[in-house]
Amino acid sequence: MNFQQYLPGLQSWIETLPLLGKTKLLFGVTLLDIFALFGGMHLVGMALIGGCTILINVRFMGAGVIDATPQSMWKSLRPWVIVGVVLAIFSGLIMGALTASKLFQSNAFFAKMMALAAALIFSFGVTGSIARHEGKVSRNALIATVVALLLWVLSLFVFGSTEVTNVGLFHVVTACFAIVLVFGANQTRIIAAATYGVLYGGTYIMYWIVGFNSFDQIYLDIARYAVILGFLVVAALLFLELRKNNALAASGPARMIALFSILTWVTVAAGGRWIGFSP
Amino acid sequence: MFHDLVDWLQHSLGKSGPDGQSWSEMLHESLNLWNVTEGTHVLTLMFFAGTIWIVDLRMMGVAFRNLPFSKLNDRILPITIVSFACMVATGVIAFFGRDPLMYYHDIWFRFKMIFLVIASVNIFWFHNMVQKNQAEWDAMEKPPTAVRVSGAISMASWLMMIFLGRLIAYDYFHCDKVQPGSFVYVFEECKSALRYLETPADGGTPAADGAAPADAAPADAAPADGAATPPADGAQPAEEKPKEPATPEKPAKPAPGKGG
Repeated sequence: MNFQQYLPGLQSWIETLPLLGKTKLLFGVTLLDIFALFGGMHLVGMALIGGCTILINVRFMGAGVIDATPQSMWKSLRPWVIVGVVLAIFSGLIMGALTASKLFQSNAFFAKMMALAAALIFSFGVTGSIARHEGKVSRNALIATVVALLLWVLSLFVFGSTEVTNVGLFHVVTACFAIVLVFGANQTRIIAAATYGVLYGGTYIMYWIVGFNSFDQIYLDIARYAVILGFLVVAALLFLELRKNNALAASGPARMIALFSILTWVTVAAGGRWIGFSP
Repeated sequence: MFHDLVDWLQHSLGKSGPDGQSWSEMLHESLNLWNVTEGTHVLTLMFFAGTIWIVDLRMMGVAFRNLPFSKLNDRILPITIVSFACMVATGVIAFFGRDPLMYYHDIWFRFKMIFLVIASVNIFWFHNMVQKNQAEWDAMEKPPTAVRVSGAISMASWLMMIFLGRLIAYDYFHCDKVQPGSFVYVFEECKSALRYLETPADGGTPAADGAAPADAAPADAAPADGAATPPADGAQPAEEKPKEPATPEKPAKPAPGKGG
């Protein structure tokens, strides 16, 4: 599933976009010459978004900076989220234009864009509303959440059903484990750490230290099942933690939304990284 | 300085089995392991830098001015430390598993390490000198100059490391492209790198062979000087595959490390 399939009429325009790279800026320097700077800018933008997103959403879950109210936190973080989004989108547009032909037919890029739309809805349509209402989810926020969730599920489906890039879902599962480790109860943390260590530490050792051939189907299957099993375990742990009432910052639905908000941004970042790893 | 050590890490450490590959080569040759490791490195960077910048902004008196520094720092620090530990672990493995000699002789990597040292010294300075009288400035909206300077150094150092890390993908200044005797030539220790290129150890992958390491460049976009100019975040235009080590042929695999 990619943009080329749905917007074939744009093909000829897309093919002209990389020519922008030869546009002369100052002193004869072209956009292509300073491509790396946009790559760095993109990462800086994503880092700003990542930091702010995790802080506000972990706060909704009842952890993190609990000395500030969600409302005051969002007030302080929102400008930096905006700076991050502007940097990431500006640099992303330039990088995207210069590599438009590839991105147009990339499933990973399609997945990233769907996740980005979901993440933007969460960050600007839902998070602020929940913060303003001190942890309560309004009807409009709930509608926006449903739309964002649908986009995110579509993104995960495309990501997960594309050969090679499907491995990138490992990052989303890892993020779930990290969230459990950050805000879970001690017992939950131990279970999460042990599960993660056995499943992924084991996979690592199997491939690397023991030296099993990572191209053998049987080991590919083992790695795939490890990701699925890890996902099921961490989903169960998260569900149990989010159901607990000891997180006072937000209502149950708001805590669930906070979790999804973090995961959509992780999917955006993972999608971007795996565009480059795909053939 | 450490060329021989890095060479040993790349070609000898863990060498065993029928293929006679070292751990570094095994990781490089693995289908997804390097990609997963490097992807995790970038993602943890996102959370590490993002959270430490929030603390830096508070130190500079720019954000969270109404919240005492300690209340913010103590709550964010665990997330920052965990992200940092994951980022360093995956960074070391990514370095180890993808032509460490190339990284070792890369100018951007060296500058990045310099900024890592600057950031570390700054943390040391902050904890041992600046933070001693934290009680006095903890609740100040605009902390004293030393605190603000420390915050600014931290923020700038990590910013630089992100940009330099991104530039490692580019082979503008690889040893085979720089003028012998120039500053870059000396700074990158090109003498030992080029000597190694001429006599590769055990038929291993020569470093600095012009093949862009992590993020390859679009061949059609290469400037006149031959410097590679890579693609968008994650994007991978024209292929410039890294040179494959002298190992038995394996099925097609994704080109490791391409993209942003």
